[in-house]
Amino acid sequence: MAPTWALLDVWMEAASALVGLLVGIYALKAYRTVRERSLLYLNTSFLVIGSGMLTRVFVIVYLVTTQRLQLHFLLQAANLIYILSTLAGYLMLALAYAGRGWGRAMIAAQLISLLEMSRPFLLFHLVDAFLLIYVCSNLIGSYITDRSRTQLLVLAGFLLILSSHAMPLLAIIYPPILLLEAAIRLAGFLSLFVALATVALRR
Amino acid sequence: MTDRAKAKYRSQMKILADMLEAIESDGGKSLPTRIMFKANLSYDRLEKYISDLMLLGLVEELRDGDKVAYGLTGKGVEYLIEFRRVVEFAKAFGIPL
Repeated sequence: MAPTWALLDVWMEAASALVGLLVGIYALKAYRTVRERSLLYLNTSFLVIGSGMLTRVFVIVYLVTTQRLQLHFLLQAANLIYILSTLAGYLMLALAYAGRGWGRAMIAAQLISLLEMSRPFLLFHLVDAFLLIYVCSNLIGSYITDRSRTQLLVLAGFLLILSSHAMPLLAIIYPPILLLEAAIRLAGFLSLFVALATVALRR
Repeated sequence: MTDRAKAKYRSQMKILADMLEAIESDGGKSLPTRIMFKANLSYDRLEKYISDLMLLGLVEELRDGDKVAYGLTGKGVEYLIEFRRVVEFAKAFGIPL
């Protein structure tokens, strides 16, 4: 059986998934309080992203603990679920900010142009990065207006998650850098968690 | 609806919260005219929303002879706290309410 430390990136992904689910659940509570549709997009996006990550974690842990690593199709299926859920989640997140018609049109146009690329691995990370850049640009605009600590934490969180998508691309040049992907993403989700805790515990 | 009209639109939940905040700023008990003024409402809309708030159990009618005032209930205070948290949460994620 693989030692626990060997699954470090899987545990980091599990922690990120749990934070994602927490943010999603709180966004649902917020939606029920004010009935703002953007909060429903936020809720759905984080639940989808968290569930996708958690599915992959469960599959990897199952394969490793039962020593059935020959079941490649299971891992491939889990990876596919992760990729699709992440794409759907980030798209939903971008929609939460694209309140105006031109915003949606811009997202659609960029996605269509990216879909013409033939390398699925690069395509996945590039589309995710594009959607996150769109989300971050909206958050930067909000932060410039209000300059609150929680906004800064959320912005830092999304910038770290965006950076984590750059790691697989940089790994083409320097493969060991791939190990940083899960750590940077976890740092991003933890920043979101601190922002959530700050808001939720405030009286 | 145009973007400008959308920007000026105040959701029903926001109106109800504005009314609760108006009552809270008067020490938890307020006259209808003060709620109207502070929450920027016409009399017709005030009547409608006050009855909504009472149905939800967030405010209660307080009568003193001919005078009518409205007071926050415990549930109203809790809702206001939760509403502020939600506004802060939405703002943190760049979603204006």
